[in-house]
Amino acid sequence: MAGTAASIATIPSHESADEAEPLARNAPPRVRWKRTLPYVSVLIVVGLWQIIGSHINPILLSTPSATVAAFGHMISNGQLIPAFGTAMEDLWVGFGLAIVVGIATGVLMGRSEVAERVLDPYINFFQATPLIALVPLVVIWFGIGFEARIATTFILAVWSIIINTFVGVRSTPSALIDVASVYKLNRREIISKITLPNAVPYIFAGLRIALGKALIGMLIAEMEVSVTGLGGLVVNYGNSFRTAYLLAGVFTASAVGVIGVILLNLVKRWFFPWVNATTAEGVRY
Amino acid sequence: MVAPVIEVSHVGKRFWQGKRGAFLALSDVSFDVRDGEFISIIGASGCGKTTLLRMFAGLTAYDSGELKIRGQLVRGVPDGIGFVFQAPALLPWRSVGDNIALGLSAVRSTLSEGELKGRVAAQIELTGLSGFENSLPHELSGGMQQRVGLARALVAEPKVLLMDEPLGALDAFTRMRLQEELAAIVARTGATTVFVTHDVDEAVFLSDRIVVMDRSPGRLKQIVDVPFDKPRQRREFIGDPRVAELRDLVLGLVTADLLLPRQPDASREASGRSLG
Repeated sequence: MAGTAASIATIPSHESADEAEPLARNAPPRVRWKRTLPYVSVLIVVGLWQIIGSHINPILLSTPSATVAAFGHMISNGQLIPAFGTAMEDLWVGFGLAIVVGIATGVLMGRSEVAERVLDPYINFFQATPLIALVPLVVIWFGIGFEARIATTFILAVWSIIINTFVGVRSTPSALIDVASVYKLNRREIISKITLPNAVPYIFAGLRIALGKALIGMLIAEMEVSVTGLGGLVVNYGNSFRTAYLLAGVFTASAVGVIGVILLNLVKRWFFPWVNATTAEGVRY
Repeated sequence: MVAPVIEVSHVGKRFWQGKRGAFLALSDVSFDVRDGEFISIIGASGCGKTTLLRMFAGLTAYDSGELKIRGQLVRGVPDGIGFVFQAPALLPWRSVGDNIALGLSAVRSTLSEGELKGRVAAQIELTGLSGFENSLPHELSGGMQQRVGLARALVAEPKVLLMDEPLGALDAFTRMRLQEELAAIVARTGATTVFVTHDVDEAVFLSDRIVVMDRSPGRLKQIVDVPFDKPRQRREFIGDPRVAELRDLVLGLVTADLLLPRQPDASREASGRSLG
């Protein structure tokens, strides 16, 4: 028996060695130049924009240099930072509510067939409806302030989160449900230890889609409901034909979206390091 | 005479397949498993061996007959069983240690934090997972993952250990090594073991008795005794002509309805080489 124990103890290192072969991180030089292509491409397009933009009416296209100057000017005159702050606040409160409500509803639908059948028609209806058309109704209900902007952001974002969470919960492998049965997990433990973690990759895929929609909702609300924040800046500068300022506002809105995606990825990498390793991208809707 | 740990009497199971009617997955299966015994259930695909094992674990209901584990009629998941799944079925989001601790869920409330940690640590040691406590399953090889599956099944010190082709997905060498370790570990725990496999060598090497099953409908064909002392050393074991004979016997039983009509030289055919 002692001999067996010794062999048990020595085996893992061999076995894991087979698996530990690292992927070659450094590509050979002849493909390395291809990696520079995105930067080269952007440089060329920005260059062309500068050349074409400086030969036509600045209202039509403006130029990169004018846009950067407008950006600097809006920072120094104190317009951009508060607008950025308002946009971020609108986005993250609306999106945050959508995350909470969306995940809760998705889990409920995933675990209860009754809930699924009861809620399914509405989910499908709202998923198919161009929700922008509801903005006037939102104004009737919530007025033209913060609440209305949050509501607009929320109603655009929440459906993708509900649906992806639902699909993720439903896609729990039957083997894991068997594990839960054999080891006698109760209903609450099944949700918290099995189905919800299993849904995480799907939820993140849903969050990413929902973030894009929330960004649209936030901007629409700032442009059409309140005329404030980044959307308000863009509208006002558009109305006064100051294209460089308009574009500076648009690019700042892009930055809000990019920051959002980066934050999502950071959360995923820090708190759910197993996600990318085990499931590819989840389901997209 | 001690009462058998598992009593299977006239157990049957139908699966309904819509308009095509019922499919008889198991028909009138009866046998007993004695305390501490290592039983393999072997048979071709569709013979109902996994269905039968799932019934032992309360994961699949039986329609007729009676199934008792440790004197208790099986309704739902019985107490004191461990189950090793074919795909290790680990939780990808939990570390090796936490996956193993999941096996203690049912008895969790009776253990202190220290006892829990001790039990998990002991299993990690026993199954050769030392140094991997904090790894995530995807960082391990298939063989290592199945060690975790085994540790999770053993951590609650089950009286009955059920295994559904636990080594089926592994490469031949990892598989042989794990067979030997499995034999040693199970012997140490003294658990009564039911092991489903489709590998004749594996069944012969590990078992005290082999339950051979037939299909369409799934039913018991024969129970073969494996009267060789344990622990078994693979090299001596393989070289033993009596083992070879037994192995051919079981292979013949398992493949009887799969092979082409029998050639005169039956022993040669039973080695599985002249199938083409």
